[in-house]
Amino acid sequence: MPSSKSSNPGPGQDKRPPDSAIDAELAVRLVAALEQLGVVFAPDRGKDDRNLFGGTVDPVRARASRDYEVLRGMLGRADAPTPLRMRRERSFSRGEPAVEEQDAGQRDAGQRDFSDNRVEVLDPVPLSASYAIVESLGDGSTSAVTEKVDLRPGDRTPTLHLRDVRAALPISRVEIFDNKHKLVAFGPSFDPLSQPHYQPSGGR
Amino acid sequence: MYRYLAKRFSPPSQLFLVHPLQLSRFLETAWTAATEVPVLGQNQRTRELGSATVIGDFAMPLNLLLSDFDPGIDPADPNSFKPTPPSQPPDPTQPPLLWDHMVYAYLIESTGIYEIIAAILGRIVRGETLGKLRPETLQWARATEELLFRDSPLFSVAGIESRVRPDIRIARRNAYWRMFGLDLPHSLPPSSAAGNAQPPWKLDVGAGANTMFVARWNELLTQIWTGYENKVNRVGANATDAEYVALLCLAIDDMLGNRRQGGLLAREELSYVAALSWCHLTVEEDTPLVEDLQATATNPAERLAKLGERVGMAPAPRSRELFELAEPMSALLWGIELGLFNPGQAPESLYLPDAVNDPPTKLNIEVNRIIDLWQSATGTRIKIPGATTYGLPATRPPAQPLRTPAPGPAAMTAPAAAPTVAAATSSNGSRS
Repeated sequence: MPSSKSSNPGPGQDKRPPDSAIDAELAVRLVAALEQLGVVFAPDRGKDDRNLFGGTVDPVRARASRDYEVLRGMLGRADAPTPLRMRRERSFSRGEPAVEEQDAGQRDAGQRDFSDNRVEVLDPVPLSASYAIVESLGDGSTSAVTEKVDLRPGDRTPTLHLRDVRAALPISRVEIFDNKHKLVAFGPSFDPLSQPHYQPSGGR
Repeated sequence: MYRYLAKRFSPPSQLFLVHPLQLSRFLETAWTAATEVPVLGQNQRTRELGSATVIGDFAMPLNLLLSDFDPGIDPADPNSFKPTPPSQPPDPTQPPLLWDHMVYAYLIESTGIYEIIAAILGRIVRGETLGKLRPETLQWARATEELLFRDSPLFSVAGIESRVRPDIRIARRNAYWRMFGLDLPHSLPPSSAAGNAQPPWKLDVGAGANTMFVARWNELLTQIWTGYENKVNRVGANATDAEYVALLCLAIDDMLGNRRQGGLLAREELSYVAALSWCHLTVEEDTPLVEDLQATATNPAERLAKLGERVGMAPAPRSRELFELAEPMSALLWGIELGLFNPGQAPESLYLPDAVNDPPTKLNIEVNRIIDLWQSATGTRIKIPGATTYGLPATRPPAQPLRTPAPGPAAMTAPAAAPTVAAATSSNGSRS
């Protein structure tokens, strides 16, 4: 019965396996196939909740944990987010014009994006502060509104010019995050700002 | 309250050098500032106090507060008065804050700290039996006598004592009984004890006492621990029931809310929490009093025990746990009263991280710590071992009872039942 085992080479013979040649076109196709396999089996860590690297964040749970963090901060606990004093006012309450910014789309549409109110942070924000989220639960006519305001690096007492959260809306919370999206400070809630009183300009 | 303010001083014991009038006014501004606390969850502001208007109902008009009651506390110079600029928010020294929950006052007072400080203060002001004391200690004694053992200034929001309720000790016990159905583990001093058959703090309470609080609380902690144990369990039977945890939170929320209707007990809570935080601050570190009485130690419970030795008193045997439990339990009960874990919210957040396999959140860690400390302080075992020997039945009790939790007992109209429950719960905090 023929054996599949190779016979023992005799002394003096080369023990290296013989060089094998592969067709260049085949090699290219093989490499492409392997790359394709690599793509197919790349773990989608964001969607796989069994992985060891963290799954999809549950927004309701995350919100509750953040609320609890704010609560601890309000009670002055160690290693909790810092409560900061803030003041809300109309953007032109000190004789200044309303902040006016336009992006390309709005410019094209001929729309103007006014900030009719702002929140001034009175206490220094933590050094790691990166952006602020201003939340309003809305009123009877408007649903909840959330606005993100980027903070300028190095500005320890920033002023947040608000565009989406209008002066007539209450503010439920101002939260300040670092660049890793960790809540580091928060501010108070604010009532809607009252309507400004315009003085008639001498008309009859 | 005072501990929060003390964090602005370096060292915190410098707060004892601030004039007591300024400290008293600080409570007034702290009350007013509570209108600015951030809105948590989807709630009305100050919902947790039982009324959306309670702060304004009892607050001093802002102009009067700023003109005549400005505390003017300057952490950089405790002996000075620094008026608030008109453009600043009401309180220049404090960001918006909420005071601790009533349970904080209960747990701190359960250590016996109030009575030990009363005895020390009595010895300081009546003689020289405690030896030579530094001026800072005498300033502490003056402020303590003014803030804790004398009527509050007239018309103050923290002014609780009156001819109707002349003894603040009894008034506090009354609040603890109503909110938690719990008595302090130590008895009243002879001067305060009355000769009534019923303890004076239970007179006129009627059915308005949360005698089921401890049962519901123990049940909630047990259910949370079940969730904690099973948080990575993907294959076996999982007894965790988030909805039941939510129902228990709702029951406790309703129970405490019933005692707060219309803003009841809010002023009392501010006043009692402030008083006990002053006591807590006295032993939180090696303050001048602690050093003068040679009571230095590494934790508040040890300091309190050494202070007690100087006046022949002993604190509660589980003081260490009570001190450590006070802060996290206060925060968790506020969270429950804010409705953060009620049905439709996020009860799972008590034992699960924000994402699967994420590290535990601060809330998870703190709840686990509360369970450890509560079972150690009270002797009630919460962490029942779930693992069993192969082939033997589990020792775990049924996951939950048949009925959903209610805020109180079914028959709420029998005040005569109250003393029995008191006897059953009055040993809390004193087990060895």
